[in-house]
Amino acid sequence: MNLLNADYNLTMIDAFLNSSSDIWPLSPANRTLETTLQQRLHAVVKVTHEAWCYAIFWKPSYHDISGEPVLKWGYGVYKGEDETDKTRRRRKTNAEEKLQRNKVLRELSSTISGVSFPVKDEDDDVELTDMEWFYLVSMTCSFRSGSGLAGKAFATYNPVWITGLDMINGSGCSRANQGGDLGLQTIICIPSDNGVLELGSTELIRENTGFFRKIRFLFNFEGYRDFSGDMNSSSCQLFSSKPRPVSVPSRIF
Amino acid sequence: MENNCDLELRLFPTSSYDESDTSVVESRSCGNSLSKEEESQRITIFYSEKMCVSSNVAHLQAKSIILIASREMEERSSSNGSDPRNRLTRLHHHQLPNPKASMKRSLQSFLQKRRIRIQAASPYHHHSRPYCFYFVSQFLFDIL
Repeated sequence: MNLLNADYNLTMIDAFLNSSSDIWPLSPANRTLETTLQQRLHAVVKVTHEAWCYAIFWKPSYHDISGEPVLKWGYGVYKGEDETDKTRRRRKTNAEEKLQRNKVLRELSSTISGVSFPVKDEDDDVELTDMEWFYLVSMTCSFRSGSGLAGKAFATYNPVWITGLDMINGSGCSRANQGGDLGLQTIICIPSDNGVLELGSTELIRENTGFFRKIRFLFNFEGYRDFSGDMNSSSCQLFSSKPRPVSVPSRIF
Repeated sequence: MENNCDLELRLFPTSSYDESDTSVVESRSCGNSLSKEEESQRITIFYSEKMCVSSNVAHLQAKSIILIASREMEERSSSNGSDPRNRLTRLHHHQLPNPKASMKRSLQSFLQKRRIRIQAASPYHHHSRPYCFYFVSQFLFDIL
């Protein structure tokens, strides 16, 4: 998979066009879970102080012919980069690349616009940024357990925190490498029982334990291990077999 | 589709057909506009060593027949186990609706937000100008 290759554009459009399902096939119960996930992803990019460009939740799919779980796109929120940050290095996109990207965007928009809202043509001509492009292409990606950063996090059940180009290029993940080419400087993948949360930024964000605590707070407690403290800390009692202490109301009827 | 049918009918020898068939072919090849009666055309189907000629088959019905036949072909080839790729495709379509739906949902949301971002960045977007003129002119018309 080469994000900078024109041929990959066709694969992307193909992935959307060949979908035979409609947009809302979820039952009411599932829709609630989906909405919760979306809300949490929105919260992550907005509430945390770090400048995350996007949040993606990868969900395992167990329908692969090999029987192995494959991580696929669950949901994503794109926030974008800090436009005022002039220190960030920019890759020069050539005219042909720009045309290709916008062509793909127009094709994707047209597959959606027939169903819900019409997208104005002028928007499709506005140039796609590197991060927008990376995010769009990510929708079609999938990872086997152990493969890629998300796959590694899923397989080992340990978070992966990549900061800086050296780590990115040494990660062994081709998607991460291409993200690095497009301006990514930080990628993290945090596993849970339901899937893997991925966050990416064009800024250098160092690993910090306070962040894991924030994630635990924003997401489902049962789904996320406490990666910030040791196993004996009080916060880990949530995962122990002991019954949770129930708070007794001060007033009794 | 009419052109293809014309070509195919001409390729096959017409000796097996009676004279009324050739007259149908001729009337269809004379221009693109068809009368109401000719819109339900005669269709000839070759399938499984059998031939079937049917008149009054509408375009939509013909397409449905082809769709059902191709599905049957797919099922037959997959039950023979001849092409594992077909099996995988079928599994994908029937058992994996959610990743595709998730992608579409995220794409929708992305496009909506992008539109807002673009409009916020350039309030004098050329598309919005006509609306400005419309509202201003309406306002002037009302007060005058």
